[in-house]
Amino acid sequence: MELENSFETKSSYQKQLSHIYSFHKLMDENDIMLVYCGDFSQELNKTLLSFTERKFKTENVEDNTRRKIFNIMVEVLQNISKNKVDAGENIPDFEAIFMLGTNNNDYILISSNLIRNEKIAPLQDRIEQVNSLDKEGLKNLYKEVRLNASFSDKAGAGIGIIDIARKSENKLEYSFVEMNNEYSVFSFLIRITKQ
Amino acid sequence: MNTNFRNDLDYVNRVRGQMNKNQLMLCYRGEMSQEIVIALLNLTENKLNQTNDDSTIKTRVFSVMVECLQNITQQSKESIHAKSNLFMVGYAEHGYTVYSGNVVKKENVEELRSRILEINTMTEEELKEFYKSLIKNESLSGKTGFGLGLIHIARKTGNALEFNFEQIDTDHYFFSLSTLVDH
Amino acid sequence: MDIIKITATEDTPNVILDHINKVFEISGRSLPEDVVVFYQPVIQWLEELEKNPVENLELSIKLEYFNTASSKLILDILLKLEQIFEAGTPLKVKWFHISTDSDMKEAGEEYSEIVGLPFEIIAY
Repeated sequence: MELENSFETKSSYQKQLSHIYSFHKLMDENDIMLVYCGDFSQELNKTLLSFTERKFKTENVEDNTRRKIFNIMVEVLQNISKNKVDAGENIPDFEAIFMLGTNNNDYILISSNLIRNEKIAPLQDRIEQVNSLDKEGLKNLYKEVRLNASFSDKAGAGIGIIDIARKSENKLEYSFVEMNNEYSVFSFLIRITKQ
Repeated sequence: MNTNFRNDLDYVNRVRGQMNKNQLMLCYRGEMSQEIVIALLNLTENKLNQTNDDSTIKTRVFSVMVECLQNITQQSKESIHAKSNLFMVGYAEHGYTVYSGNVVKKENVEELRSRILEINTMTEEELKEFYKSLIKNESLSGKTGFGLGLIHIARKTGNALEFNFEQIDTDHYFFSLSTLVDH
Repeated sequence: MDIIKITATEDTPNVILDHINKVFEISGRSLPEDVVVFYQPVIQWLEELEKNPVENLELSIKLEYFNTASSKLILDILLKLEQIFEAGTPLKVKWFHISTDSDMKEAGEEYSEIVGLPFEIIAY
């Protein structure tokens, strides 16, 4: 610390901003590139998507991979928006978060948001189901669900997960953490292997 | 750095914890280029436009962002530390805080530090005069150092520039800058 | 004399320097990465203008935003005009700002303090 002299360390302008450096190291741990925490509206989602598109274009990310990331991101963001909790008494203080990262092998998308407890079972079932299937199995499941699509919520949620699984070509990681008798936190991690 | 992502979804909680603690809304870490600066501007602008904040605050956030990020773009060209550039926006009591971070060479630390300290001690009048004299200085045409930009930020926000230098290796420091944009 | 017509992009302004139709305007946003390269045709045009002055030229500057690098070039443009003005050609600068943008108004006022040119600051 030879560059610091007593005048500067006592300066009130050089506050303890070491938390910025710490956060930077935290992001560095898993090579996270983007974190957004807050409201997820249609507008906002569009904005996050254009940012990502632009960023990956400038990095010459391979077209196919870029499209996959984009499509998966659409699904993930829509999922967060759909589960938006507007009004009610029992809502935990929890803002949804979205993260996008890269490391040597994969691109990673992470979401974490509130979900009503009654939505957990069908969602978990679906994720477990897609995780147990191979490429062929997923293709068939997709066709099946598409054919049987009623416009009920359940079917809607299902297609998205299948689509994500097909595109990512990796197991989907997730967790549900109960917050209270109405809500839980659903965290979702999707990996897209670099081609 | 891990080559495989940690299966532990508690990492997400750690990130969220830090975001909450520091009232952060948006964070970007990585290469900086004109393209990315514009993309970040669009992202931030669109996000802020969804709030009812008065347009002066928004324009000032925008302004601070441009100066910081374009400065980083210039500094991190061809740098092996390009991936370490950081840009964040957070909520503040009556506005927003804009954070930027990037790796700087040890030999540039002292000058940067004293420039910021100097700017922080100036009155509004002094800043105005300093700005006017710097802008007339011929040598500024073209590659601007961070001088004019820092003064501009200080003038527009009326707040002191908060900063920090963390040593990361024998020749480099991580420079963090925090600017409060409020009423 | 050349006519300069540069279409705006996300980070560069609209520039029209047309002595035939008497339209002289810089508008939009100015935050190019390399300001010198961007404004080079404008500076060149001003040098030609010095040799072929246009009487009663009115330059409209209607910027939503400009970075500090651009602010230096804007000053260069105004100083060039000042030279032409002081050599005897009447001309004027019209500085526009959105009525709620006090920062832009102030920027115009500051330029009018630095440069010896007739300046009109207009809110819209």
